[in-house]
Amino acid sequence: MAGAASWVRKSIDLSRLPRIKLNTLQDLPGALKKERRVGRGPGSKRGKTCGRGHKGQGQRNPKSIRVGFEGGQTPFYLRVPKHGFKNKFRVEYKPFNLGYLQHLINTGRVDPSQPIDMYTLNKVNTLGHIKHGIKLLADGADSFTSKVDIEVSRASKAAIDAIERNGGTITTTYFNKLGLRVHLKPEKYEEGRKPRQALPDKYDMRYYLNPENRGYLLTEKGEQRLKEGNMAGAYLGDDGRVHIPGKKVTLYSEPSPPKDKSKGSEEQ
Amino acid sequence: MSFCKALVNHPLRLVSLCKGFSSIGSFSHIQKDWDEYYQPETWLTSFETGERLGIFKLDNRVFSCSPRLDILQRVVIWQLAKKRAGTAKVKTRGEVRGGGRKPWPQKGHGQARQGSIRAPHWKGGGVVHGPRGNADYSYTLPKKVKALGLCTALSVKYTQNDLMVVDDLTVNNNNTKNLLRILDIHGLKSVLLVDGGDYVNMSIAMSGGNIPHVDLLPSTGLNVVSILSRDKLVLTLGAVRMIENRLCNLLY
Repeated sequence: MAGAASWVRKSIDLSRLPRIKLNTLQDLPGALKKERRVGRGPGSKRGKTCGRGHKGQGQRNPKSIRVGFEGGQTPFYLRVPKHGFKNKFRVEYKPFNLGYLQHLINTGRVDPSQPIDMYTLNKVNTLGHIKHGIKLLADGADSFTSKVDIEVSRASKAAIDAIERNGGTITTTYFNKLGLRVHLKPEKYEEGRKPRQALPDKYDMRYYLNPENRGYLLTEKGEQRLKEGNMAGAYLGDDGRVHIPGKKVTLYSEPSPPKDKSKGSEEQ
Repeated sequence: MSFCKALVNHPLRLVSLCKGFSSIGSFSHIQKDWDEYYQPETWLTSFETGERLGIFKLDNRVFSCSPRLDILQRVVIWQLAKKRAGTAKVKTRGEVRGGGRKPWPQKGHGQARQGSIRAPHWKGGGVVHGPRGNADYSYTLPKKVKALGLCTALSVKYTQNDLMVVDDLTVNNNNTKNLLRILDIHGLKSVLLVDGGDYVNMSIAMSGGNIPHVDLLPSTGLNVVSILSRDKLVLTLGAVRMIENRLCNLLY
């Protein structure tokens, strides 16, 4: 009885079973693997050599040889020079398409009448881990029909077009990693000091000051942030630089033009 | 007492205090589903007199979850392993008394060479790879598995008609004979009595501490092995609320 009862069956009727007690409990069949007992005589199949064969490395070494070991010859990882590097400053936005947003709205997981931000998208629990932010992309824009008020990290031009064609609004907002955590998990910062949201660095500043990108620094909230960060009135000039009134600072300058190589070759 | 009656008069207030946890964010559609499910009900009984005070609803996620008896087994095994003292110890050949002298010379006796009478293959010799007295058999089980095990144990008791909910566990006299009389009214012999809070109240602790097959626990100490080792389970109303709150908080 207990054996039959121990299968995972959600429709099992406990009221018909005898009283479940400590002595009738059982795990699922096959849940645990039996221990392999070696060296218990010839009848046991793993008697004399214990299944390890005769002599040599296989018999004497521990269970496995270390990864990359090639039997004594110079292994691959020592033979080949190191190359390449890992950029730890790389920023990877989570791609999020308009078609999927429409799907979430259609299935009732996102409410289009409320403002949508990365907190609500994260709560849907289907996007996976959001590491640096979300970039809204335009795949499925043809079928996108909802009017939404959405805030994400970045957005493609086609996505911005599609949202605004339907009468919605979109803002792109900068979050650094700590700021994103505060945004996605506000319940973690209910007690104690809540970290302030950081302003973008000089490169991202250009993106979020650009009206084409619907950057948040052009909104009231962004102006407030700029004021707090001592950068009130910052704007993106025609020269592609970020200017701050009253200060002789430009935060971003175009790279200097490449040197004329043909001139050098003439000299040689 | 009056507090309990007030709750009975408003049974909906008792229905899962923990529902708010599933309605965070955009999960409101899930809560709708929960409401449609079957909700277990139970009598609220007076502990002292045995009269029935009313019916109230229990949380279906705690008191009628799917019967994962395998999870029950895993939690029991974990609890028993955790409980082991690990003080079993045997002597090695160095610790067994004697055996310092070579039994006979290396050569010339027609015997196999031997170094000590306490070698492991000798009768009365030391033991190889035996327990050393410092074993720790505890391991960690995922929090949610533990919680699911407790839910399953409670569901098993509820479904098999072994669960009783009472108003209060206070007994008039701190008197074992009196408590035995009360248990007799309910027909309880092998039973676990669970009081709400961190401690069981003084009167039940004084009167019920020394009765065979009767266990006492506060609701914070409720566990699977204690539930399954006795036939019946008696919870106070306060204990039910605390357990529902704690388990739903963990699982949902």
